[in-house]
Amino acid sequence: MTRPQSFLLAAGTAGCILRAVQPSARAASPIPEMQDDIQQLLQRRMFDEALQRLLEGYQHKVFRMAVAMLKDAGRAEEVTQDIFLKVWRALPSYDGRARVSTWLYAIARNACLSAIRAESYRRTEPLEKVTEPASPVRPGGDVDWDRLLAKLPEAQRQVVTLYYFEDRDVKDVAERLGLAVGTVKSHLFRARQALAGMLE
Amino acid sequence: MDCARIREALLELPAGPVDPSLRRSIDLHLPGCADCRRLRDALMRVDEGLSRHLQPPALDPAFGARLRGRLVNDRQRVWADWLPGAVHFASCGVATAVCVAVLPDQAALVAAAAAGITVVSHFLLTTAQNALDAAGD
Repeated sequence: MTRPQSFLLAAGTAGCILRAVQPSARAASPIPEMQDDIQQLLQRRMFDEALQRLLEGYQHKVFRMAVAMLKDAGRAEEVTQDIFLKVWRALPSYDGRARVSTWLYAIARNACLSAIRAESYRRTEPLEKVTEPASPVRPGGDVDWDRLLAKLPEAQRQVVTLYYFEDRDVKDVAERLGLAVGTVKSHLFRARQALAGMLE
Repeated sequence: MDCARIREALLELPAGPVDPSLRRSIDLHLPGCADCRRLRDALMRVDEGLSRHLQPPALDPAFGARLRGRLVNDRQRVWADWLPGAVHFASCGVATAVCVAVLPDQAALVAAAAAGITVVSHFLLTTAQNALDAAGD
């Protein structure tokens, strides 16, 4: 197993990392210079500083991606921690061929998919327990959006959720989910069509 | 413009800017077509409803402290991973030196045998350690 060999990590660095992981309502979008900055830190084998920058730029984005994929904020937070631990261990093996964000999102996606697999393995319910849900549109016209979204195919639900989480940025959603922009647009098209059909 | 094209354009709207002439065609078409208006209204309801419902979640304030704790533990594990190998090589070195001191006439043979045993036992130790790590993960 490859791990960073920086044994001189001190309390100061831990403090920096702690500052970096303080949550804010919504993190600013990572700018391209941040990618270059992180690449340079990694080339100079400054793994602690690189991790700090990754946390500053991406912890909220990775968390929102995990929420969109796992549908559970508590579980998503645990998985987000696992993701940054994996990133920390894998930093020395980052070869710079892909963008840092692409590399990070690939790790995050795989961790989320593993969590989904583990969860679905644990939560297999017998058929007799599964009941037909009530209509997602209540008599007064109120809409149960969770129930409506649950009727979409999983890929469409993830795309729609991230799309609205991320201020409708299609490119960002595509990078996060490892999909082509055209595929994201197609999922959005079909999902909106289906949702509108359910409301009409 | 026919309804099929208008409906397609309405569905594409949030995914990217629609060109102004198409937008004008939609504006001209909608007042005279109840079906397309119904779709437009449903889509507006979907967009407004989801925008309100899907607010970006915020990380728990304790996230940072928990992650810091796990990072510190992980760094200690790096030491823990490195230590058995170092102890192994040091003890093999001491054992080899003692054997060479006891059998000075066979020094070359003892050193060669000790080197072989050290490499093989290191391989076994690493394999066992990786298996335990994998089981732990």
